[in-house]
Amino acid sequence: MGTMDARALVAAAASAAQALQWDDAVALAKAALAIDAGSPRAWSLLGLAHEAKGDLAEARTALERAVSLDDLDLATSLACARVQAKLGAVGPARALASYVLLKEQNAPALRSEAQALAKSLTPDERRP
Amino acid sequence: MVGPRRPGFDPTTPIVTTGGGQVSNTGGVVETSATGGVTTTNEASQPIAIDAVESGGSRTTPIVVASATITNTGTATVSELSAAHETLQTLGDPQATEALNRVQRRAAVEVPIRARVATARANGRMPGEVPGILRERQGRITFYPADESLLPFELDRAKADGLPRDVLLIARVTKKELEVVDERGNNVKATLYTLRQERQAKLGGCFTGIVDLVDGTPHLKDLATGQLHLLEGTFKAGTVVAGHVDAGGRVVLDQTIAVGESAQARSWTVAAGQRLDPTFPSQAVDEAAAILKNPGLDDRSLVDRRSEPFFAIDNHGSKDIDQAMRLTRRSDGGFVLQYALADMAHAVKPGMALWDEALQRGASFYLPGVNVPMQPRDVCEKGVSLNAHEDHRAVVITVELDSNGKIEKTSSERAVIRSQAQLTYPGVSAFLGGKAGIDKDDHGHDVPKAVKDQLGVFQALGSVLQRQAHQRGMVSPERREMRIGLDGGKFLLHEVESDLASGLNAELSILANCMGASQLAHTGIPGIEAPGIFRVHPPPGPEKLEALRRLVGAIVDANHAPASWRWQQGEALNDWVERVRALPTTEREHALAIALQNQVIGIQVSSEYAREPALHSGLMVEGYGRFTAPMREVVGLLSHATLVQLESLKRMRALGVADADLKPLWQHLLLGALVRPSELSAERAALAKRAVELETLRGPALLTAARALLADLARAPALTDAEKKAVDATVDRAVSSGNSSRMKQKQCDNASTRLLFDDLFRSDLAGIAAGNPNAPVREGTVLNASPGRLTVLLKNPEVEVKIGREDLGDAMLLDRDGAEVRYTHKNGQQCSVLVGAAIRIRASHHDGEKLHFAIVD
Repeated sequence: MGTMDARALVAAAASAAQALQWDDAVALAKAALAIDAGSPRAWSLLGLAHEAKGDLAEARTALERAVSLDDLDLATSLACARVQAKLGAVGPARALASYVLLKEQNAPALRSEAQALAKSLTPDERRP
Repeated sequence: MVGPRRPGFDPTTPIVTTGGGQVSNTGGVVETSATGGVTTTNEASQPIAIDAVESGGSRTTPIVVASATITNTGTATVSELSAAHETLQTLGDPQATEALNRVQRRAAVEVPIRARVATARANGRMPGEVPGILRERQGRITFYPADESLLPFELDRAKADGLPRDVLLIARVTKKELEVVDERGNNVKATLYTLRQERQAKLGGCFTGIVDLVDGTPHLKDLATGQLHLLEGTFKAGTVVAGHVDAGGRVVLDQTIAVGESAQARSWTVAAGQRLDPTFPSQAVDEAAAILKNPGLDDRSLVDRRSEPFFAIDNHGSKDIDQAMRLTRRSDGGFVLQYALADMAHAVKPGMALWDEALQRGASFYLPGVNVPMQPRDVCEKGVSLNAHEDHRAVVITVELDSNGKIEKTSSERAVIRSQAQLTYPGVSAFLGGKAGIDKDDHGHDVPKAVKDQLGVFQALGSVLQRQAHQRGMVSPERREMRIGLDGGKFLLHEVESDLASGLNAELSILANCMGASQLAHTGIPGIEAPGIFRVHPPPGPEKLEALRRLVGAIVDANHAPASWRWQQGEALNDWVERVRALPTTEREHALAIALQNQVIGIQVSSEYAREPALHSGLMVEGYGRFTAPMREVVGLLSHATLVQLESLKRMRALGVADADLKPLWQHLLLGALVRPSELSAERAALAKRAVELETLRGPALLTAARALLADLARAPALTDAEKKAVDATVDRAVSSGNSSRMKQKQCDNASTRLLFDDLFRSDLAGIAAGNPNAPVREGTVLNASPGRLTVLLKNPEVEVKIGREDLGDAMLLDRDGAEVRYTHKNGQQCSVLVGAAIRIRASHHDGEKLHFAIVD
């Protein structure tokens, strides 16, 4: 089995995620990763599903892996930053939000979300 | 990112649908008409391939209509779910199998398309054509657009069979739009593209090819078409030859261009990868010879400037001389710049094979040891080139400026000039720096005093323009220009010394380009618009700049540099860059300064050709055109052709032709100057030809001829829709070809760099192969960090290398606003790397495609 087989499972995982069925999304994404551990999309879906389930630590691990495999997937990068922020990893979250801002081109929704996240994580230097 | 749930549909409904009418999204099911349906692919960030709709012209092959801008939400197709079932049966994962069953039962398989309108540029329009590369990896065929804001999309094998891999293709926009629902539930229109092979076979028997061994038998692979011809005899694989097909259909080899495995032959393999072809069709070769024989110097409308001391500055040995200049200092301290440009538009016109070649190629290409010109050498190195000590036609753009560089007046004219010296950048730089005289030019001729006297003016004007550029806010990060060359059969890196003269000439060239573009953008005639081509470069937005400020501040802090190195609030970016360039006092500080400036380069997007004038943020000018390389860029050729006809129209207006009559004249001037006669009716083509011939007339003769033409135009049938669109279609094609050529050149540069790396580091890996486990350690500086890789600038040789996650370790993440990368080394150790810090790396292995590096602890 190879990446072609993993693709079908990734697609199924995405369908489950689309239907907000996060347990199923996790199971299918994991099955995909058992075949192809290098699928950034599978890691991304796994992370998003974990995030939705409230399993933030697992979400962070999966999303960080996804981002390191495909650092041009800025939507996943931003999701990863969001989860890092929720877990109090302010430095990595802010760095990743900034990274999204530096790399995005003409994606206003992504830009405004990244900007808001970066801003919320930036200490107000005017504050005494 | 998961979008809102859309109404589901019966998963048994085939997703591939056909129907009539327009493409639309109706509650999650995509319907399309014409010849095809819609298929989805669900790989990571892979969007939707839409089945064929449009047919192509004679030189293109319609393959598939696809959206480069639409991604699916990641939902599965019925067939994919079926495949997933089969996979899970093999995998034996009951939990996942149950999950998959539930997915199907819930009918969650819809086609909720997430449109990502990521391509709308500053002008708010989707690009008409998207160049890119088709790659086949692990059974998947994916189109990677050159524009990184577009997502790759996957193609069905059946549709991609006729397309070559790993060479440039064009995704050309179709007339159709797809209305879809984005991740936020908004209706969004996306654009459909059809993939076309850029070039089909031609050449009329002449070709250049590379010897390729097929099952051990030598074949010749045609560079242009990729076709294989059986060869008789013994040949070394990789040998590059020129040849032709004789009357009996046999391949005849005329000349060996490069011997197999030589560095030049390897360079040719890069050219072949992009289908860069040095051979021209026989008709084009004949036309080039005719241009050489009759360069059009007997044109009595030309202004005779042969006695004026024009001169050119270029690289040593340059043969394609696009520009020459004459500079005068006025008594009030002001300047007059006459920038003469090779009159390509006179030599190469619509209807000629040379014109088609220019539109097809887009530009001349430069690889190590290899030059593939846009036009035959008889044109670009002889007939049209402004070679010194010869009479040549030129388009002279004249700009008058006051002593502060403020533009007072600009004009253009066709003239005949005789450049009196062919100078070189190093030679002029040395002269201006007082380091050497400049008695002989590059051809060994004496340099006249009238030319020498102008060099001071050249320096003065160039300096004024450089100051202006800084005042405009132009950012100039320090970049050492390195050029890959061939030496002794190997690829080597040469530093191109930045010299005073090339910097000054760049400013004059920018000025001439801006003035040409300005004349097209503002014709000065009511109701007359010129189809200009502009190079635009969107500026970074405030959020990006703020993120940049945070990043460079963090790099400064992380490297314990003084706070004064930070980009201060209220400080202009270009002022900070200038300051950072001047701050270093040690080699280490200099490396840090380079890393800081590299962050500025990293946020810039590529410039591109566009139809509407807009800011070129790299130069900080509005409305930047390209007139100064007409022999090497198709955009220059068309810009010249348009400018010359605009001048003709202005002359008619000055003679009293009423403004109301100018429009039909202008339409026909443009048709004659830009559209192939074969695209027009015979009558229209004849009228257009008469219109452009007015350009050679002056005074009463011009007025008489213009009025006669107007009378005939009044009797002629109205322009058809196709004729009305013909000019725009040609200009659009030039824009597309120009953008594609830049992409091709970039691909060539990248491929050449890989070959350079192979040569530079081959000995490093040879050490490993010989039993030495450690390749030599090389020192460098971390230039950049992303969540997936580091970029390191080596000290010697001075090249940038990437180190990916697979070469570093696990749990890679950014920190400190992007100034630090943390990861877990394969040995379990927690590691951290700072941007701007010194680093030691070594080559680790070659995976068959590229060389890998590892950090030395």
